[in-house]
Amino acid sequence: MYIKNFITLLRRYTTSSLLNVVGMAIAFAAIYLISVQVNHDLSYNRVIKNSERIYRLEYPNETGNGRWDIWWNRQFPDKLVSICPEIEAAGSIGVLAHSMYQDEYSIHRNAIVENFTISLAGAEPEGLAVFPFEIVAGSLDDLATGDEMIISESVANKFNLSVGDDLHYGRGAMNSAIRTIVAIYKDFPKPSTISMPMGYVLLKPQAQASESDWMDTYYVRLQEGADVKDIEQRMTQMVIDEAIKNGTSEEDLVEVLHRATPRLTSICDLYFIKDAPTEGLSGNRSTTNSLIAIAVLILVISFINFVNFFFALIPSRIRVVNNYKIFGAPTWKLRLNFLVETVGLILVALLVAVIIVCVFAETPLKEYISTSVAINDNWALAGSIAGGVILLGVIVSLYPAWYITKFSPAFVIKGDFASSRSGRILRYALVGVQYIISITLIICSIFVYRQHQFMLKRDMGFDRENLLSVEVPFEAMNPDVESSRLDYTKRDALLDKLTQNPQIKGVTFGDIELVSNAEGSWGRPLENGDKAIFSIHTVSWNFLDVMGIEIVEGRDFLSSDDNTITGAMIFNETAQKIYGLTFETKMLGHLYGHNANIVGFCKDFNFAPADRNIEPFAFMVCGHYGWDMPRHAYIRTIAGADIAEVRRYVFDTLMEMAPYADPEKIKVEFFDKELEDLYYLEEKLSTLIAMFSFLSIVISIIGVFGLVLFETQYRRREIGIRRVHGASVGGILQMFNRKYINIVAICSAVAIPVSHYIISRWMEQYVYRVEMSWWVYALAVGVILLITIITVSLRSWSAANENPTESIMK
Amino acid sequence: MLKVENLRKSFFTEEIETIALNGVSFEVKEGEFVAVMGPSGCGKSTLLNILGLLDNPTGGSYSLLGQEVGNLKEKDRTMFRKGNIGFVFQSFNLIDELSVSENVELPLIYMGVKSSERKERVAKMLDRMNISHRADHFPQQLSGGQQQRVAIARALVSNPKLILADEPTGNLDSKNGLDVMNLLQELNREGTTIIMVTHSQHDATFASRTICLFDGKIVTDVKSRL
Repeated sequence: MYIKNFITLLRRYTTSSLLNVVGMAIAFAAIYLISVQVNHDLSYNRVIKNSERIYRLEYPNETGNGRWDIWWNRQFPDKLVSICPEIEAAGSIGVLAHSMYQDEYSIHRNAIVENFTISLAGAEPEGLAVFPFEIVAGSLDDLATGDEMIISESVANKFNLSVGDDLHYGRGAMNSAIRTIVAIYKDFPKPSTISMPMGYVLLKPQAQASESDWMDTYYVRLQEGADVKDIEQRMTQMVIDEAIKNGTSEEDLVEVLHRATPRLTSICDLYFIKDAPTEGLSGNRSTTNSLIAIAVLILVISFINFVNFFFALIPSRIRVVNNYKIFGAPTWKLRLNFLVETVGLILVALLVAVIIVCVFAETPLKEYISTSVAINDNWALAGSIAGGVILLGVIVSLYPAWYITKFSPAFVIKGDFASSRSGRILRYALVGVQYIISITLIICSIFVYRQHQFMLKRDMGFDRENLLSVEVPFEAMNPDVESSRLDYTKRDALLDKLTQNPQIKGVTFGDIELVSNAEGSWGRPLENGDKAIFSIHTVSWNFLDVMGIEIVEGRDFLSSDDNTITGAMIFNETAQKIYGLTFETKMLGHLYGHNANIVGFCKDFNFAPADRNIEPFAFMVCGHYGWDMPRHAYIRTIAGADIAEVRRYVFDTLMEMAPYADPEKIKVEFFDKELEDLYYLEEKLSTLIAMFSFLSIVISIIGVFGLVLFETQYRRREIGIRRVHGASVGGILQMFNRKYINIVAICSAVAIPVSHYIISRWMEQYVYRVEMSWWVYALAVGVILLITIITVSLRSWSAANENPTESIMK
Repeated sequence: MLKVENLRKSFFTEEIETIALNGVSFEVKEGEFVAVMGPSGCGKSTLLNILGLLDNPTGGSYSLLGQEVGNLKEKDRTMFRKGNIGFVFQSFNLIDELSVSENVELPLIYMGVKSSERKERVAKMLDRMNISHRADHFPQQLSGGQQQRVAIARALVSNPKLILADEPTGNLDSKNGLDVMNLLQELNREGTTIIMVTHSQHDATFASRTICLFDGKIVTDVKSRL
């Protein structure tokens, strides 16, 4: 009987059922997609066994900029953990693959060479012990030297590898070295950082590690119930004790404390961490929170539609209810019938939502969700959402079901529910809530979008026009034979070759992207006892010239600086001002025992993302001695260059210089792409909020459309009377629109301050912010107003044009 | 006042033509009180709708206040109705959401009368209809007779030259019905032209002339002896 009644509902009230289903389906699909993203964000690393007890050891960045560093020299953390018995495992382990372990491997089978890529990270045995490696073949004990490796089960299966296989690797000249697979471990669950490397090699033994090597990340696993704060305090005390033992004066202890207080960060928090380098995937807490809020709001909007449609239909449906009552139907059965209807509608909406999700999974928009959106991969989540919305739907429909069945048949026969004032006020109030949510979301999404665009396009203090970038393969820059002195021969050959192209104006190299969060930092004592702390960027001598960074004092780098022992440095204005630097300042350079050779000062520019201010900074040309040759190339083309041709030329040149390089890794991109990658999280937030705001507007407008539909239906007679007494079609449209315009106006008065507050708080994370322009608010209100007027006018047009005699006589 | 000649009106439903009016011709002079009678489906209401410019005829001519109005567009019909024609319906057709005074004020709003003048004219009209004490009530709070008095007040407030009444006593008991008919007769005596569709022989006796329709044609057109 209930099923039959449900089918009757779909037939009798097709429009409202359709609008309800469409609105809820869009909402459920949006909630599912948001939940997939949020579930990914919140479960990141938590899927690792004992994750709540595993921590990364960090120390404050020397620049005092409030950020934390994670790259240790292993001797220090070993000392720190030695005083903490509640640390049950501790050691260096990288969770990011590193090119220094090579990734081009091959295996010789039956005289056939198979090549493949395995990205490896480094660890010491103690570091591996921190994470729950589950060995499925071989033994970790056999990982004794750098000539062995362990790989994950999926990699072993993919390339058909097993324990005991010898893999050949080597730079350039033909796979001379060999690494043997000694163990295969079960893949770590995703999403997690430890699941990212495809395998591990052993770090150099600690005894061989240089004191100047600060390049290993360090993890610890605590015993259950260990007090993290207490451990941090003891470590801090140890730092102080060491400092006192080394003769640090009491007044300097403050600085020691400020700059050397260790911190333990749970791996469960690494995804959202903002004040330390991220390893693997990273997210933004405000994005996740915004998405949760949006999901709740979308759910509210869709159920408001549901309730509104229900109440709008009451005048018509109550007569049917009344008839059932007259003929003896018990009230509880009628109420149950309404609940069954609700469940039926939600089930249909869920089916439509599945279709929407499947369609979404085929669009490029799926890239904005960090993991697979396929329902097959998220059964539990999808089931929870379905169960949740059905339960919520039943709860939400309890009141309408009670309300429609509470009246006595006699009262219903006499009463006119179409004109119930309280019912109308309730419906308008609910629509008002939808409007407030929609306007707020539009305003927020416009500001997030504008901030993102502002960060991408603002003047950063250097020339961004006609600029390409590419990471040059190691072999194209470095000599085949390792040398203690930097050999610029290959670099200069590459430079010559690239600049032979008439479309290329200049080529230069830096160690990393010019704008990043990952620049190195130096602390160097000054003559006056102060310490200059600054970010450092090693570059080739023509870097400032090619990048259009202005020298304000002294000189630019010269090619002859390559041929000096100490190299040369150019500081920015901020460093010059804060530390009173001059050309005569005595400061240690990159070679201990040698003073830095300060040759100039450049105009300040933004070398960090928009959430950081301009800080002390130095460019350095290394001279004879340094570390890795800067390989991040910037290519300045002439205006109007054929970019496709330039890209091809650069690619071909690099492949010619490094024939064994992986062509997939040579990506010649616009500089703007670098910035886009840097601001990926903002872009993601901007896109997701815009996408879901749009959906919330669609759902709200479905609600408004439905209400106007019912209203014009119930007010046909009134429209007819007004028409008879001289109202024009325009007048009728005006009458309907006026009401909704008033609602939009009232809702705007609430939504504007609410959204202003939200967006102001969000903007606080940026040093460089887009202006909070008034027109954004006006635009949001205007958009909602326009959509509303169009919707209301379209629907009321036909009602107003009906022959009034027909509506009056009915 | 008005003249119709060879007025025809057909309705088409699913390729079937229904002729509601078939060559109706008559003239109504200013100050007349005409009752239109006939059995259900004879075309009375259709005629009234055309006379009230709520509908256009399919053929023939209709001249009102010296102007041919038979083929006016909807917008022009609306303009012409304002201030010229008042309507009284069987089911009152008051707007439930509006109070008594707001209902009466409605035609004046669409005529663009200033607010102060509207209030004044509404108050006078309610006073005249003896329902001033109910000015702030809503239609559902009134008796049928009171509701019809409000409807008549609304029809009259714009000082129309012609009142069209469609079964004005159809929903009223005999006492309230008599009150309404007396009121219409009084208005007619004051100079208002009235055309009333009715089934009631009794009500028709209040009119000065009775037109009988049958199958869309005028079968009798008789002046009352009164």
